[in-house]
Amino acid sequence: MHEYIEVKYISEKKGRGAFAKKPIKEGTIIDIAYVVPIPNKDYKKIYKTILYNYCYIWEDPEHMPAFRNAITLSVSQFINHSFEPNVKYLYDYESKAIEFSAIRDISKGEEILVNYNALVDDKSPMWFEVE
Amino acid sequence: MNDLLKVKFISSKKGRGVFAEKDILKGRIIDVAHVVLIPNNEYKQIDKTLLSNYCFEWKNPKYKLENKMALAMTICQFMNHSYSPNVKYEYNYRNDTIKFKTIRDIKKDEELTVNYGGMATSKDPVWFEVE
Repeated sequence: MHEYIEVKYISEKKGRGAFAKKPIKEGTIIDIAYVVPIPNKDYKKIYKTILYNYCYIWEDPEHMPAFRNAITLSVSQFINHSFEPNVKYLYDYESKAIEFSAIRDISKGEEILVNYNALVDDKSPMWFEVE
Repeated sequence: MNDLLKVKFISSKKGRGVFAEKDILKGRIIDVAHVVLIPNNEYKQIDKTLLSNYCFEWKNPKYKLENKMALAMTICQFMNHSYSPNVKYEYNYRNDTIKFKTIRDIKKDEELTVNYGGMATSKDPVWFEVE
């Protein structure tokens, strides 16, 4: 079972979200999400489907330019977006994983949020409406 | 982080696999994976990509018309296939989850495997060569 994250249904509009199972200290690595790199020819098909929402830009020098995207298969996929996130993520091309860590203390039961722009303070608009 | 499991690279032929971080007793639930349901019209596209290898049949009567495949967001996706597996999985259609459970004691550093045929005892052929 996952040590830090549980998935809960929020509402019809927001869908599911990720919540802290226990108090988390700033700096804690809460998830290592392993990726499946996607060849560009496959990504062209995936781009038009629901799974597009779950893909990351993945420019691993080892696989460029035939691969530019990847999907992680991990509970961290259910983390919602916020421009004031409490978690950040970093790409680790060597381990083929995305590492999620807390950027402040998080209380038990609090929703876990990341900025989908990858950089914590990047305010570029999302492809959906942000509340 | 899943405190019981880790992903490791095995070989270029086999790719990655899931291994026990510590001894795990028989009957232990190692993960409850939430799934993303894929509409049928979109699955036609996804079926032609490498992500088809990661999709589960989703026979929930409630969704029969809209969804028949699902992508589980879990580290357990990296488990390899075996006809004598040490892990089995069960669908929970009510919660849109898949439960992964050990079916015998597993030692630290042992590889965890499932039968991709669905039932632990299934001898159905899989879509790749089994060693």
